[in-house]
Amino acid sequence: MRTLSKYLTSAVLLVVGLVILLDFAIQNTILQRAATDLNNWAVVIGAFALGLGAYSLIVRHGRMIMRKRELWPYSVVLLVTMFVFVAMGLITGSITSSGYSWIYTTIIQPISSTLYGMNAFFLASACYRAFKARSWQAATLLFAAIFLMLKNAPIGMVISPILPAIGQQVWDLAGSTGMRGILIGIGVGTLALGLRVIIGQEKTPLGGVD
Amino acid sequence: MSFKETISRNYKQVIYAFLFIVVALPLIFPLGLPVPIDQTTRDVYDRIEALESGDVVVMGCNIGAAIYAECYPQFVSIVEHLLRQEGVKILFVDHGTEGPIFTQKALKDTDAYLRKTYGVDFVHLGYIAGGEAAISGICRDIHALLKVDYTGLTLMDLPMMVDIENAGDFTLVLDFTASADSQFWLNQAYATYGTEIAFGLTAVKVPDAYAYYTAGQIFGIIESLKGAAQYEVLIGKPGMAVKGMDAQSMAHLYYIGLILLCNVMYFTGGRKK
Repeated sequence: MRTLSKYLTSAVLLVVGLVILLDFAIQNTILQRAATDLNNWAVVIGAFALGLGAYSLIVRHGRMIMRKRELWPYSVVLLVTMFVFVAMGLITGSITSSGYSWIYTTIIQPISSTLYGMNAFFLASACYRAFKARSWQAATLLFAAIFLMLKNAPIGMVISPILPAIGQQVWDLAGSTGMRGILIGIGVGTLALGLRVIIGQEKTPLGGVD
Repeated sequence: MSFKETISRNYKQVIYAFLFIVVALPLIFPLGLPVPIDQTTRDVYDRIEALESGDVVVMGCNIGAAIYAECYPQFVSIVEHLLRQEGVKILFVDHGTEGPIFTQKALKDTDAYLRKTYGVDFVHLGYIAGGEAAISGICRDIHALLKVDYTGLTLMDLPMMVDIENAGDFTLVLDFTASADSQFWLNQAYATYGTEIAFGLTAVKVPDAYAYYTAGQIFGIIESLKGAAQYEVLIGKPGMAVKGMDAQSMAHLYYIGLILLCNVMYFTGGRKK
């Protein structure tokens, strides 16, 4: 039964992968329609995945509360918050309604912004503790960081126009070229993974079974 | 315990306290530092200025509460600029769950409903789940993917949507995000249909996008709060981003000062730690 399931999944992956891939290469109305339908199914499945995620969250944290595991009160907070937001969305009919917006702008937005903004404090601490010119590589990184910071803030231009110009050179020569290499590597890796999935060599989508 | 010992033992708290002061003071007493315009920002501005009547601009939104401070000023400035362009159609698409909140906020903040006609000049499609599949669906055939807009109105009843079918009908795509989904537009709209694309991004995502910018695959980038401030200056409507730039400048100077202090102490202290 497990083998049959594996072959069926592989066959679905092969057909779907080929249809989507060939649609890029061949102009054909039937192929185009099939690829569009398959793509739209993926969108519907994606929407269901949100519900599945919520279900999984309820089950997992429900268990934590029932068994009173460590930090279980946080699970209560999580589930209560989730149900309040869902209820508010359903009652008001929209996530842009005034009631929902009020909860969002007075609770979620300040908390999220604060957590994100705390990075600035960690950065300050890291600048003081970690940015030491222990080697020439570390010194290069240090100077690059200083020039990039002066490029990204108007104060750099106020001090001297040369400073942001050096930062721009670092950005163009080192940052852009390095990132391009990484992106090309990711692209080649994604292509290889895609081909492995289509020909059934990649086991992860099959649940890791042989 | 001496004052010096107290400071050295609680140096983190001292650093944090000074950072707080350094950031807060310019927000209370603005310095009015000039905001130089980057080419990446100017390219977006110039391209929008060159739009013609009937052109269609897609505004992708994946703004969430965490990145609100960086990306929302970019988003609202671009919406304002687009609303000033006569006859340009704007299609709002949210590919992040919090997207509709910020799209609607931007439409209210710019008085879009008063200045333009919904369904004729702009349409809000709302959140579409599915990540790249959702963006692919929009690029392939909007009407096959969606039947109604964000408010539940039938798409075919909206005059603007009658002639818009796929990415071949989009003049520009402008996407605002902090995650990898900006790449989806490149895969689905640029690579397949050749649609021109630009991004509004958080600072950490800019290096990824910059490689595409120098390769000519995207025509511009609004880079974090700095880009937003530049755009506010370009459209002549300084807002929260311009206010934030003084604080950002002072914070960067403070970081540089800390780096220098750290190295002075390292080299004068026998390089032990």
